[in-house]
Amino acid sequence: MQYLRVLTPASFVLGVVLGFAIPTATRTAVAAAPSAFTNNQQISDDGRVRVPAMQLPYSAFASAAAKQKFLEKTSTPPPAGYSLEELRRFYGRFNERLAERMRQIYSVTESHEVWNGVPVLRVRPKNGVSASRSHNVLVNLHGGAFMWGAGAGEEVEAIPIAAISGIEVVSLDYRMAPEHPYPAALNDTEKVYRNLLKDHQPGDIGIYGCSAGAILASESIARFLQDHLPLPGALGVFCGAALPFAGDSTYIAPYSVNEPLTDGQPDAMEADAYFHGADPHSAMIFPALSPQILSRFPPTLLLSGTRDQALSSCVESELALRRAGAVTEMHIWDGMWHAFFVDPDMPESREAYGVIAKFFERHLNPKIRHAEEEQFGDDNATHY
Amino acid sequence: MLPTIKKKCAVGALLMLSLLMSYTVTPIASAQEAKPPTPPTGAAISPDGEVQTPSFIVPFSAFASKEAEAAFIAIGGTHTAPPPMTDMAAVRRFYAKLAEDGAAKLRARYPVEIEDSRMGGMPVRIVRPVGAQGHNTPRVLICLHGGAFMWGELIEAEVESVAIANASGIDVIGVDYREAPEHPFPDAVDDVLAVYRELLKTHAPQSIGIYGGSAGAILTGETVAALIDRGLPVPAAIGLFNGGIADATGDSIYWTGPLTGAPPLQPLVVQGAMRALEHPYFGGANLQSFLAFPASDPARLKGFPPTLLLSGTRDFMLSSVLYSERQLSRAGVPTELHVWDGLWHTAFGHAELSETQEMIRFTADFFSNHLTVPPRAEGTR
Repeated sequence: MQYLRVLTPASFVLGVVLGFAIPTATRTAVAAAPSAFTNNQQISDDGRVRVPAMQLPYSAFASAAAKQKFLEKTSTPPPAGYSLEELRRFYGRFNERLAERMRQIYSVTESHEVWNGVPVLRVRPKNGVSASRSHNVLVNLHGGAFMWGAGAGEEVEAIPIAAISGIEVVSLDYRMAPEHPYPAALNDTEKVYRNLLKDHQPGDIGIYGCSAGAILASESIARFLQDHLPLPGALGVFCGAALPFAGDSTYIAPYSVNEPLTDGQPDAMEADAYFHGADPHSAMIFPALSPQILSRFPPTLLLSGTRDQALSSCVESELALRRAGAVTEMHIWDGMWHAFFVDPDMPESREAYGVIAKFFERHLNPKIRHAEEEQFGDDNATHY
Repeated sequence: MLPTIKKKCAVGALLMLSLLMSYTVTPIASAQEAKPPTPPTGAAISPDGEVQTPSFIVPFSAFASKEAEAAFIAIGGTHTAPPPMTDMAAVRRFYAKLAEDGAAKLRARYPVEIEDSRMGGMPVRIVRPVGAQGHNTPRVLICLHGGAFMWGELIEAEVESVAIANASGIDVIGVDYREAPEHPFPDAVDDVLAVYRELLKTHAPQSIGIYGGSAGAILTGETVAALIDRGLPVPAAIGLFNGGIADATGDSIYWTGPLTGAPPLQPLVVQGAMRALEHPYFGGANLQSFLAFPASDPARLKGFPPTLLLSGTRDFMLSSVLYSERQLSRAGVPTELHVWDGLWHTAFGHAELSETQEMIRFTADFFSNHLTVPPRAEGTR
């Protein structure tokens, strides 16, 4: 799904932009026939640019390990022509390998439970949760285009964060599309959140998600507001956010990772199975469409990379949140791709885990605040 | 240095010339003209991680404003090429004229008082807000103008100060630092330090902020590094716009030329090299040093004050800005990063964009929050 906009045909000649002192008035545009590229034109009359064939070196700001991983990633062709079942198996194997590696590096205990009918995976540091953080909990909403990523994919996203933050992570095996379109996953998220509210202060709870999980995490805030639930203490949206995947990065990123767009148009992941039939202009789906909703957002951490197709969605969501008065923190890794931190063997990934852990430590209720809320707040709140 | 730049002009990489670091490369370009790039077949990636991308078309950002789109389309259509770099006086006149036009429009839009003066021996232009916000608060901002370290002067400082002074209610002092190629690094840094030291006689460092765009952003970081190096107090906060504290490299260097209608860089030559070496300002400087590019010394970054970093997805300095933010943040420095989709290196020069107005608002808020208003008696040092 593309952001809707009207293109204005205008005259243009390829030229230069120099210095900071561009004259400030908009020039009168001369109407012209829309939009073919003439011989030496790099920009069309409607503002499109024609990027020539070129060589793109790997980022000089990224680590040697990242470059190695980039080579591995880009020399494996992405799955093409797969059925849904084959895709799920493909990503399942992909995630299994990463989860195995996560378990080698990070010592955690894992247990499976069912809360309000939703299967959850509880991940705790092997040596127990941090004493100062035992009242906190993080909810992980896994990525995978709303269609895959359950199981091993959840472990990949939950294990390093639980281990490094010392906070328990509860990961949802939410119902996925196309069998269960919107709002099934959102309903599952709310069920688990309601369950957590039984024995946690809302400010003790953080929610995070990557890619589709980031969209889902953003939506959960809009949903909780609608249902008059108290909001969590902090939100983390990684390689996805509160807007559709659109803008510059949806063009640049695929070429940057050696996966050229097949018909010149970006994939519209969110337009596919999950949002089937839902209104893409609804702030319940993309909360950044409503400043009112955004103004209520808890402190929000946004992470992305310059080779992430969701970069533009992230940077624009950050602006929209800040505009609405929300507290934000954003970091972007040069040269890094969509969901790069699923691979723990890069300094960039470990840096991201540290950033995430620190963010939630900073914004979730500290112990003393939690104790006060227990005393003066909800009588039913108990410490687990 | 100048003959090098002239050759670059001949290649026609004019937009890239505007890029603060003039790293566009001549020898390869002629080879490129003779042999058009062959379309890739299948997976096209070198053992060194270099991707061969086919030609493709990118619409203007769906997230950017209508005004931004109009400006993006319009600037190309009406632009007059600057004089050749061999005639630096003419180049400076050219940009001064552009800045004059811009300043006139800004003065009409934002009520300010403007006064030329000298501080620490340096010519400065003081832009004071008038009206509801009042003026002469104990807080003050230093503006270090852009212009590739080679042009800009006081009129460009004015252009970059008027809206921020108006929005923040804080006086802004633009510094006419000495420019390259006549005055390479660290002359400009010394000039800014002279003004800053003078300001310390009347202001607490906690009440001073420094910001700059493009070359001015690099100079802002270098000024803070020099203060740390000399054991002087750093300002309360700094703003780095379309530039940072790291070299001009990374992904954005390659993408943003074509995304703004210019030819791509030739990676064979720039790869692995410090592009800034070719720039007249950096002639002779140790580019690995904290004083030139502070991000190269993470241990000493700790001394940096809270930093606001702003860029756009079509800004060739984007990657440098992003890397600067990460390095600062890892060193424990409070940072604030905002990136506008579709915006190019000089887009904030267009006062009419809603994005520019937002940038002004964020900048004013940032400095208002970080600069303290000390009691009058403590306003001296």
